[in-house]
Amino acid sequence: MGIFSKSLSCTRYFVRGETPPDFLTWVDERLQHFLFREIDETTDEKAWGWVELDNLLQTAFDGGQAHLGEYLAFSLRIDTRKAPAALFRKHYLLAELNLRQQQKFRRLSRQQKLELKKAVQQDLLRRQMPQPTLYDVVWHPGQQRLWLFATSPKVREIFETLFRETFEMDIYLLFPYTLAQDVLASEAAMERLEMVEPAVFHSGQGSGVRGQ
Amino acid sequence: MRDLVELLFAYRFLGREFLTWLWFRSEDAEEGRIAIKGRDAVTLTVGDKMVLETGDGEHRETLMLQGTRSEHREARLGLLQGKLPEEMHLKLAQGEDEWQLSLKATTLEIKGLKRKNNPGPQEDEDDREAFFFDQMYQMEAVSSIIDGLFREFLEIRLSPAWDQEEMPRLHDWLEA
Repeated sequence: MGIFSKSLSCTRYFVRGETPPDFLTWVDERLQHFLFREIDETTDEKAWGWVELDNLLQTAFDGGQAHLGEYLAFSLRIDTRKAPAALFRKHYLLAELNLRQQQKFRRLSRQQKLELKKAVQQDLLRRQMPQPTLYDVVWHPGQQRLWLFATSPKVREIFETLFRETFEMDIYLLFPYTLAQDVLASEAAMERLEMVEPAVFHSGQGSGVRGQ
Repeated sequence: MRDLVELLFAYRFLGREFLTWLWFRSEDAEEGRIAIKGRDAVTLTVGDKMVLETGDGEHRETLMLQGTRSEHREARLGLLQGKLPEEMHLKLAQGEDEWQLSLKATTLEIKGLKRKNNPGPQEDEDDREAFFFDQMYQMEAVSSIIDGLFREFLEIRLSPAWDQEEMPRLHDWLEA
């Protein structure tokens, strides 16, 4: 459900921090340092990095591919290897039977079961192809705002960590408190925000700001 | 500055009150028109899906409503029982633009934003770029409306007018 979808879902961010004089070239360089690298030939369970906007395979950022007018746009690619539960169960039962045959049908110890589970899991993961997913990112440096076209907290966490690592800038989620900080003009209003307590809608009594 | 995760949960109530206020204003104001300083007024209608919640963590209770405006009565009963909207389906109109979306209270994340008469994704590279800019125009417009509405809400919420004027009107609306 990225930027090219008819139905858009996103989480919004504020981006703060110093930008170098040659900002756009610097962005390209930083993106190239943290490109997505394929894990098809490895046994890694998970990998992430940047790719061109809405393009699984393209990772060239040397020609301004991420620059679209006043925006910077690219995608976060996350690849994950997963062994489906039913597949795991089948292979675990086969491995368990095999091991019990080897030890003349004696029951497996708790330790043996744990080791077997780990070995089966690793073997299956090695044989699974990683599943790629893309999440579009659009950054408006002029406004210090950014849209991540994803709403999952796990994806948000990976994105925030990778963004900080890549650009060494501060990024924080837009939510009621941070948006209030952004829109409230005066310190007095911020102080009132710190004091505000939940309103009570169900008792017929109002509630507002402490001390009023 | 306090830890952001702590602030996210500590101010969850403010997002839920914001959605409640939008709901109230959409029904209280004439044709749901809400003025936003520095920009055109927006016409707001609460759509047919709403998630109401009470409390946090393990004591959380959820009420999901899906239907027409008749179900808003049930949602208002939910409010009277102490539940507040955590997610709300909204229809927004400003000038000739019309959108629908779901807004979440805790993170103000936008879900399923659709513009009326969206031509859909294009295959041709030039058209695709134009489509990107058009999509971002929509996203920026809706983001700016939400921020503007939130600012309007905060100005009242953090002033004496909240207790003196807005809450009594809100209670009248709730109990109507």
